[in-house]
Formats: sequence, structure tokens, C-alpha cells
Amino acid sequence: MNLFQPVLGSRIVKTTTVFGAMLLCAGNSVASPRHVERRFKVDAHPIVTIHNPNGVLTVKAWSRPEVKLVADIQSDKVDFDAEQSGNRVEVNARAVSSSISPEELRADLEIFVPEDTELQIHNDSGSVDVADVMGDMAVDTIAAGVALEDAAGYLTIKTVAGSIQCVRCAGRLEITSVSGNVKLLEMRSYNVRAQTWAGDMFFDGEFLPNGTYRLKNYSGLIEVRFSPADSFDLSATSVRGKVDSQANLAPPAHSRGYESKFSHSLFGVLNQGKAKVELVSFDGTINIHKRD
Amino acid sequence: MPAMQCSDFQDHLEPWMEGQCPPEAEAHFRTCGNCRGLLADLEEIRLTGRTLGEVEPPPRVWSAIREQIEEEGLVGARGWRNWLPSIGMVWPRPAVAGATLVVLIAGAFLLGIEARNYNNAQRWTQGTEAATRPIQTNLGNFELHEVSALHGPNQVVNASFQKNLQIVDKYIAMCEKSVREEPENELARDYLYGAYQQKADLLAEMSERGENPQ
Amino acid sequence: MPEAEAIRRAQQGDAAAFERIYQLHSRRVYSLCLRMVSNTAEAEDLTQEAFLQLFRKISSFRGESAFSTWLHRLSVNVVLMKLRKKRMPETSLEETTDPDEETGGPRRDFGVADLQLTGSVDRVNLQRAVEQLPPGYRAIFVLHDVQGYEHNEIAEIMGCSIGNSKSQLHKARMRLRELLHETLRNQAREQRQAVKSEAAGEG
Repeated sequence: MNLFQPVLGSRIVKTTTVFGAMLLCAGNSVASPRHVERRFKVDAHPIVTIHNPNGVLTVKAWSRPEVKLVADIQSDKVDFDAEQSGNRVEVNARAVSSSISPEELRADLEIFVPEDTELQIHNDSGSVDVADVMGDMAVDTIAAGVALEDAAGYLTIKTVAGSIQCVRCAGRLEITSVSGNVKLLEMRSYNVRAQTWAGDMFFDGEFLPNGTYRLKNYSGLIEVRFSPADSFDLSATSVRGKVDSQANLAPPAHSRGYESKFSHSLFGVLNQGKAKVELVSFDGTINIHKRD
Repeated sequence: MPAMQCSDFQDHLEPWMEGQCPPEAEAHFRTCGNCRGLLADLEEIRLTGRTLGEVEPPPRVWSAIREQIEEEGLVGARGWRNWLPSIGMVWPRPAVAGATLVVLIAGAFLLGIEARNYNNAQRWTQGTEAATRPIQTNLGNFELHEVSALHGPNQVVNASFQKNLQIVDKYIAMCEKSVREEPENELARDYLYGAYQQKADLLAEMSERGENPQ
Repeated sequence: MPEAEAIRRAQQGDAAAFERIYQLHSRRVYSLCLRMVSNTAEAEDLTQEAFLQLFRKISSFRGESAFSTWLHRLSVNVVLMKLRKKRMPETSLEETTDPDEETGGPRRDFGVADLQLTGSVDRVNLQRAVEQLPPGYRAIFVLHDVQGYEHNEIAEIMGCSIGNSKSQLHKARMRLRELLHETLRNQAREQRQAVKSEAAGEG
């Protein structure tokens, strides 16, 4: 027996409160854009999680102990809320109608965070841009491209089709994609593991001593730039494609696991071989070229 | 029999919340606003508790565990290749993916572990085909019957999923061909495992988006 | 990989099996830790510790109980040990649940209409209130009302009787009610003061 009718009523009250302005606008037009600004005071190392189906997401660091959110939501078919629980801020956008156009689904978000913020981002389509944030980061998109600049920490990026670009990033980087291109520029990471199936990969950065740099694709180009002063132990293998290297490599000290009569491989050491570089492709081309 | 007092009713609160409502307690409940309010509060707390939900741990937690178990020798440190099939699983898949996908991913691992034990080309070929046939069937069935019926509200995402599913299917076909032609090519087999895994991962994401539209 | 297969392979040191076990259970374990300690860094450490203990002991798992129950018992123990080390205060609920002896009715705090919780409990307030519960109550509330375990499962996880699980849960909810009422009263007071200050400013 359910004697708890007031509770059911309370759920409707709560839902109305959450929807807020959206319901007020409902009687006026089907697609009514709205602008939302929120601020949350936070302590050190806050966590910000964002779930957004479609839109341009920009995250920038600033010096205030606050998270500021500026959102432009294109229609009232998107339920939007942002709430704080302790040192965690959650931003959620969600379609409330199954019949919704991409434009109606769009919510553009600009978020300012302390630089030591940990970010967890799910932005399916649109784009994701993050700059100057030094906390750990996990970004998950389907079709949205991802661009990180001056980020540091444990950075995990996963897309299906979105391209990925990281500039001047440090720390540990893990990237997976199905068809997105991967571009890593002016990198200062000590551990890079990047994989895409159908995309091209480009790496230009420092090879830190004891660092590990692994790039893998199925088809497409893998290109790595180096300077003569760099020091790395190279293993480059393509099953069906070519491996082309301009590096003046010394023979490796020991045999390699991938060495096989079925693949085109190149193994060798540049200078003392302090970093480890592993490049694998199925039928793509691997280029190891000198910087201009 | 004297009417139940509030203090007596509160002795019945705990079983009441478990669904046991004796008639005399119900009678008191109907007439006492205080006790109705109390019960409504407890029910509100119970229901709101459900909404606190589950939170995914960040990827670094697994990385730290993995490093530690390798260091302790609980698992052989076979290097990147041993973890290779799981690089697509940086994000743990939600339970909504279901037991079917668990079987598919299991197949990819089994293929990786058992095929390495084969020591002649014929056995490799037979073993590979025997292992991959159920995977192909199950992946195909899951795609046909479950995932194709699910469409999230984001048309851009739906189109991207379809396109990338075709890309992965193409790679699976190419890898299978390669493994048939050169069954001893370990790298080709690694790619094949990875391709199945990627497809399962993609289907799981599609399933999740379709059932829980964002 | 099905769980049974993963356990078997993990007992043989299979790396992929360990990862599979982690994937199957990490959300629940992490969520439990997070709701218990309300601090993400600590929750991560506790999750890591729980899984490390699990992987170290996995060869001794013989299937006497469900694997998930075993894991969650281990996780709860890891969390409770941590909280005990921090010497969380154990407050008694007895004085807040005893009815008024003269009237036989509930204490005035209960069921006061203008402060009823219905419609006013949000996740943020509830989480804050949960953080103030004593560890034992907190564990049972999180296991039952947040994670959905039944009392027989909680009894196995916590090493208590089913009856004890039910009564502890009830006490946890009553305490949460007290805490949430206090929050509502404070918020109402702050609002009144804000209105007064505004009126004084305009006057």
C-alpha cells in the first residue's frame, strides 16, 4: 500500500524548481534561447563535471577561487542545471524531447575555473577547448573536436570522430579515437599513449629522459619530428605500410618484440636512447623526420 | 482498545518503511498530521538517496592500481601489448552494455591469449577462425537487434556512430583477411583483437546513448 | 569477459582479468567510498586500497559468497578503518528519538508542518547531511538507500544481523531528518535576516 502521495507531489514540485525559467518560457515559444550565469565558490582542487550533448564548450583558468559558468541554451527542449556539492560542481544539459534538431540541442558553455581544477567533460558534438588548466582532465566526446592548450596533469581524451589537438601539454596523456586525427605540438609530457584507427597522427615535442611515447593507428600517417640532440630508443613498425626515418640511429642493444618477417620495422637508438618511442601502424606510413 | 499514541506509532515506523503496516498504525496514520509528516519526511530522504547515484572514478585510479599490481608481481609485467586490447577501455563501460558485449570482449581476449599458444600455421588459422566466428555472430546480432533500434536525440552523434561503425567494420574485414593470409603474424592478430574490441566499445556507447539520451 | 572467468584468470595472474574485474565493480566501490568520505582524493585512495587488497587476496576467494559481496565487504572495511583512524565522533541517537513522555506524542521537532521536508530535500543538502552521520549509520544508509543493497546483503557486508541493519538504517534516516530540519531552519533564518536587512536599507 502506498500512502505516500505527498512524496509524488513533491517530485513534481522539485522538477518544476529545477526547470525554473524554462517552464516560465514554455507558454511563449517553442524554441526560446536563454542565458544563464552562475558562480560557485570553491576550495583548492575543485572538480567540475560537464555533461553537454551539443555545443561549444570553452574552459579557461583564472585566478579566483570560484567557478563561473556562462551558458547560452538555444531552446527549452534542453534541461539545464548546475549545482555544487562540496568542492564539486556539476553542469548538466539534457534533451527533454526526442524530437529535437541539432540547433535546438545546442548549449554553448564558457566556464572559468581555478587552474588546479580537475575536469570531467562529456560533450558529444560541437567542440571542446581547454586552456591553462593544470588539474587532471578526462574528456569524452563523440563528434566534437578537442583542443587543449597549456594543460598539465593526467589527461585522458577519448573521441569517436572528433579530432584532438594538444599544445604545450605536460604530464601524462592518453588518447583514443576511431577516426579523429591527433596532433601533439610543443609537447612536454613524460608519458604519451595515443591511438586512432583512421586518423593521422603528428607529434612534435620534447622526448624527456625516461619518457614513453607510443603512437598507434591502423591507416593514415604517423609523423614524429625530432632534433639531432634528442635521445630516444625507437621502435617503428608498419605491417603493410612504409617506415621512413631521417634519424641517424645506432643498432639496438637487444631484440624487439615486434620484429617480424611480416612487417616493415625500424629499430635503433638515437644518442643514449633515454626516452622510449614506439610507433605502430597497420598500413599507414610512419615518418620520423628532422625538425626544420 | 485505546487509540494508538504517536509514541506507539513510532515503534511501527521502521517496519512501516519496509512495507509492513498493521491496521491500528494505519488508523493512527490517517488521523495524525504529525506522524504523516514524519513518515513523508523519511520517505523523501529514502527517495532522494537514490538520486545520489554512482560516480565513475577517474582513469588515474586504475593506472595507479595497475602499476602497483605489476610492481608487486601479482600480474606479469608483459608491457604495453598485454594491456593493448584495453586501451580502448580507458572508460569503463556502463552495465547497460549488457552481458552480450561482455562475451564479445571476452572473445577478443581469449583470441589473444590462446592463439599465442599455437605453434603451427594451420592450427593458428583454425584456432583463429573458431574463436572469431562466435564473436562475429554475436557482434552482428547485437548490432542488428539491439543497437540499430536505439537512436539518441542528437542526430550529429547518430550519424557519427554509423559512419565510424562502418570504418571499424572495414578494418575488421581487412584484419581478418590479413590474419587468414598470415596467421603467424602476431601484430595482425593484435590489430584484429583491437578492432573487435573497438567495435564492441562503439556499440556499447551507442547503446548507452540510445537508452539514456543525453 | 564474464565475471566468473575473470576471477579464475585473475587468480592465475592474468592482467586483462584484473582490469575486467575493476571495470565491473569500480563505479560501485568508488561511489561507496565517495559517499562515505565526501572527499574525492580520499575516495580515490580508498578505492585503490580496496582493489589492491582484493587483488592480493583473490587467490583465496573460493566462492563461498557472491564475489561482489566479498568485494564490497572489503571496501566497507577499508573505509571504516580509515574513518576510525580519523576518530569520527559517534553520537548517540537515543535522546533524539525518545518520544515526549508526558503527552505520548512525538517531540516538537518532529512533523512540524512549516518545516516539512517534502519538496525541500535536494541532493546537495542530503549529501551534506550524510557527511555528518556517524560512520556505521552512514555506511548502512549509503549501502541501502543510495546503492540499493537489500538488508540481507548489507548484513553480510557489514557483518551484522538483518534486524540490526534495519534498525541502524531507521536510525540513520531519523538522524538525517534532524540534520535536514536544522539546515532548513538555518536557511529560513538567513532568508528572514536578508529580507530585514534589505528593508532596513531601504528605510
